[in-house]
Amino acid sequence: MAFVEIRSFSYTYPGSDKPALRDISLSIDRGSFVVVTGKSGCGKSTLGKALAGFLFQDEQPKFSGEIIVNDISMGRVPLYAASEKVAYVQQNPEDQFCTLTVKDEIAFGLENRCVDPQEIERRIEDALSAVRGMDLLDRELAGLSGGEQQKVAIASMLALSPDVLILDEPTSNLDPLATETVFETLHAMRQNLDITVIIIEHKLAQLAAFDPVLIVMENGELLPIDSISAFDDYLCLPPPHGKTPSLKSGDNPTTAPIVELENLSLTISGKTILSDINLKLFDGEFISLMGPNGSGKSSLLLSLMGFHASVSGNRRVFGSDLEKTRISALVTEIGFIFQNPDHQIFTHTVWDEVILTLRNLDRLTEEKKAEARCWLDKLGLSEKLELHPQRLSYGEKRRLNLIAAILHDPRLLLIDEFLIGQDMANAHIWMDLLADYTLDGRTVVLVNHHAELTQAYCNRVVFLSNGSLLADGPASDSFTKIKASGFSAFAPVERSVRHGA
Amino acid sequence: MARKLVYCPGQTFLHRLYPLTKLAWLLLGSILVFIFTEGVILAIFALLCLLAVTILFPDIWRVRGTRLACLTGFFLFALYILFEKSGTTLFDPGLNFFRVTDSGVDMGLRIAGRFLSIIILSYLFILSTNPSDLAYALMKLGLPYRYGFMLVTALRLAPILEDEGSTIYRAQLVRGIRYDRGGLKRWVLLTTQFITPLLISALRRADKLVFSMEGRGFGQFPERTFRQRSAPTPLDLSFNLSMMALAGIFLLINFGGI
Repeated sequence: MAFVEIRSFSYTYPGSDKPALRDISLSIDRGSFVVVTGKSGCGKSTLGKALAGFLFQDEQPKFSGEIIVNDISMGRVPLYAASEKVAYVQQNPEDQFCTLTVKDEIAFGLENRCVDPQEIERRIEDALSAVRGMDLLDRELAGLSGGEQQKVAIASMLALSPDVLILDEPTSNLDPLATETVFETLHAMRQNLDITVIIIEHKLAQLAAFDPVLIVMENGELLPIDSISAFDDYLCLPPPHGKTPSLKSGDNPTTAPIVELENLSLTISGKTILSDINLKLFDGEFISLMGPNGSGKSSLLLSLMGFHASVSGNRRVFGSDLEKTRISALVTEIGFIFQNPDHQIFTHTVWDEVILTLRNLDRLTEEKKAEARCWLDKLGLSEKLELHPQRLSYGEKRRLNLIAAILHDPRLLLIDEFLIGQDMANAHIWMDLLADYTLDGRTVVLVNHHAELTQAYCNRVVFLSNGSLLADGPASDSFTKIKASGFSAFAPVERSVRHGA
Repeated sequence: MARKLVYCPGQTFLHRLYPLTKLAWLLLGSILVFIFTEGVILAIFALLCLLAVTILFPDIWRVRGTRLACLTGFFLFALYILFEKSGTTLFDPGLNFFRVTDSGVDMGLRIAGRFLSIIILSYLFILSTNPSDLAYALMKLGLPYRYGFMLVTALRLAPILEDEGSTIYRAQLVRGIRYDRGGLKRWVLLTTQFITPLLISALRRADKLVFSMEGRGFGQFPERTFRQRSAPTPLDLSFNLSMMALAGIFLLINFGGI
């Protein structure tokens, strides 16, 4: 029998009629490196949680079939017994941490299992060494970068010596550099430890080098191996669509800039967040704002909206001095979409949410209502008008966020990390929509890490490093400069993917 | 810029003391100030506390609430000077409504001294004690670990929720929501609109945290072990002896008539 055996497994979430997993059968050998991929909502994470034993903790879980890991049937043992076999690393390490320091976090599981204190110290060091993170030993969790957090999250599971390590989109919040580090760490770890790794990921191109076994899911089912070749479409970019605005960075002398930043600097609690930023934004640009995690991208967006009052330098937005302009006056001209959809939903129905800004700005007309319906129809939400927005799926909430942010026709749309957790097919749809939005001369600034999508859709790339502007110009020029500055991981590269069996 | 009243990492002798030593002296100190009966003793005790916090934390005046606490102490003292008329008159400017009495001064020093002593002792404790270390120390002492981890996870989630609250407020503003308009009814609506996403976010986080904790065996056994953490050192012994001597001297002066 294989080390991990899934036999005709189906699962339906409580309160749902539709199975999230259907008749999954799969065998995984000991020590394999498996990548599970598929479009958003296809059931990848559900499969991961089933393998980790989390789905069987409800009073009456609705499942059929069986999952066996190293001769243990995961559906028949309590969670703590299941977790001795399988460790599960969540998407966002911040959600997983339950202590305040690296040592305490890695020790947490060992202490729960009453491991001897001296043995705990040894295993903390072993686990951190396995993820090449010994430099983090005495650090507090709050000061770690995204990549470092993920290393600690993995180490905290490795310390428990599981047979199988499952990682659910461990790099979705990370920049390409940190993503590379995490993948390399996993690869190195596998070489040193006898462990089966199952990673749920969209970023297949970066994982291809490690020669994984690829498992593709669609609508809760496994795609047959012979159809995986068709999945190449999912990985590859379509040809340029011709919608990209033709304006180039800062070279349109006929129009005044809509945003002008001069020597913008921002310091928070003694730490320099932005340093001497000089930037002009023009009508009709689709700008990709890129840079490593913590480089100041989100702070720059917030500064454009006037949120950071303690900046130095000059900020002019739509001809007004930002220091003398109230945020309520900017709202009519600027739309803003934050990273987490849940943080920007305030009403009880989808319809109320869509028209909230219009209502607040006294712009709710019959014409606008018709436009709202049109957008809802276009983005597949017209059947859900009376639903509570929090009942929507993640992808639906993102669509709702977009409609709610653009319905009052802002000339400048600022978007923070909109593509996190989106598969490539969905990401293309979003980029297409945003490119369309700029066709009427409106401007979009999108914080993202997708070099390929940026190259295909955006006409300008602004790259930040340590709070300073490293590159600003047309995508091709910026990427050349980004590569030359040692940030090759952020530039598009030729990639190919091999399929495992 | 003002900063929050939270643990301030450092290497002072107070930082190096075992958390339970500090907790014990916070409690004992708070009890002592109610045992002392002499206003002057209490005033000296409060001034010593103030001196200690100023030396150990030179930027104490930037910590939110410090000035307010001191002003409140002074205000309490002034109130008793103004309104306590019993006892021997110490100073009479000739105004009918105002004269300073020994009883007024003593009462003022007692109340203000107690108030300031407790506040400043708490400041010393909070600024020098890592709450996480305190929670682990309490658990090692016998506090059931399920309760101890309520404190640890709360400490973990509090700054995250604070950040999220700030984001939600900003997200409201960019949707044209204005807190400076409308009456009470609208304010209640806006507050509800603020709290709902925050609550949902907190619940989601709690859910994921449960996953994380149970997935690492939390609750599997009635007891758990703890990794090697700091323990009481000779410094704690010296501190305990010094504090006992100091408390003894104060008690002798107060009750022994020295």
